Amino acid sequence: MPTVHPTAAWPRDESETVAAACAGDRGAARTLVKRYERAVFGQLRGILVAAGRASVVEDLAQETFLRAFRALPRYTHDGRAKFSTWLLTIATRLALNELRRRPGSITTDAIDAWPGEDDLAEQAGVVGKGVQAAIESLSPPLRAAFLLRELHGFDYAEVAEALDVDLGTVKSRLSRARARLREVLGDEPG
Amino acid sequence: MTMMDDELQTWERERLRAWAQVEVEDDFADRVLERLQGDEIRSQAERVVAARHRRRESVGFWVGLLAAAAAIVLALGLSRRAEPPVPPTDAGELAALRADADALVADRCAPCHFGEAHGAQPAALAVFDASRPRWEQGLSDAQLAVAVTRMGERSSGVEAARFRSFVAAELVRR
Repeated sequence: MPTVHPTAAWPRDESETVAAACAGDRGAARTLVKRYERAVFGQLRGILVAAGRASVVEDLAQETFLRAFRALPRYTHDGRAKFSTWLLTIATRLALNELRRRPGSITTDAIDAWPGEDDLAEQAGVVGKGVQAAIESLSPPLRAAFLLRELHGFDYAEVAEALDVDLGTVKSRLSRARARLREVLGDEPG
Repeated sequence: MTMMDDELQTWERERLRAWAQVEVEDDFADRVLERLQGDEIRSQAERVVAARHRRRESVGFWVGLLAAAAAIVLALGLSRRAEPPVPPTDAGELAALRADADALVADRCAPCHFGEAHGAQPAALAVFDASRPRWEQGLSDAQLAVAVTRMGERSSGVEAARFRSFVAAELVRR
C-alpha cells in the first residue's frame, strides 16, 4: 500500500503553483497569498507605519496581490525573478507611490499601531521601539532599500531594480541605514 | 569599513526581524480572493459592455457611412439641379418656354412689375415691365439670375425649372 502523505502546505513546486494560479486555480492563488502575506505586510508596514500611514497597509497588501495576480501571465513568461522578489517589488513601489501622493507624518500612534508590540516583553519592547525609531529616521526610499535587503534578503541588484536606482545608490542608502540602526542598537549585548 | 564589515551582524538582523514580526488576520487571503473574483466578474462585464459598444459603434459606422453616401448622392443631385439647364434649340420648345415664362411672370410678379396693372410699382417697373414684349431683354445677366432665384421661391419645382430653361435660352441668345 503506498504511503499517503497528508496534504502538505506547499504541495507543488513554486513555478507550478504560480502557473496554476495563472490558469485560474483558486487554491493555488490562496497558497501564494498565505505563503507571502507576512512578507508583504512586513514590507508595507515597515515603510508605511513609520510614516504614520498604518491605515492603508491592509489595502495596499490586498492591492499588491491583486496586481500580481492580474500580471501573472507576464511574470510566468518572463520568469527572471523569484515570485517573492517580484511580489515585494510590487508592494514596495505601491508603498512609495502612496507616500509620494500623500506623504505621511510620524505620530506616536504609528509606533503604538505596530502589531504584536503589546505582547513583547518590556525589554524587547524597548528594543522594538528603538528599531522603530531608527527606521522612522530614514527617508522612505532609504527605508524601502534597507528592508528589502536586511529583512527579505534581496541582493543589491534586486534592490536596485525594485527601486529603479543604480547599484551605487543602493549601497550608499544601505550603508546610511545600517549606520543609523547601529546608533540606536548600540553594542552587542553581552 | 569594507562592504563585508558594513553588513548587519546576526544579532542586529535578529533584532530587526523581531521588530518586523507581523500577524496577519486569518481571513486576509479570503478577502484577496473575493476581490480577485470581483475583479474578474467586473472585467468580464466590462468585456461584454465593450463588445456591445463595439457592435453599436460598428452599426453606427455603417449608418454613418450610408448617411454620408446619401448626402453625397443628394448633393450631387442638387448640384446637377443647380447647374444651368441646357437651353432648348427647338423653336417650338422655345416658344412654349416663353409662353410659360410670360404667364408665370404675369402671375407671380404682378402687379409690381406689370405696368398695365393697377398697383404697379415705379421702382419695380424701372427694373422690368412684364407687360412689354421681350421684357427679359431689358434685364442684365445679374438681374436675370435674381429673377431666377425669386421665381424659385414663388413657384413649384416644375415651374421654376421651366423658368430657368427660359432664362438659359436668353443667356445663350446673348
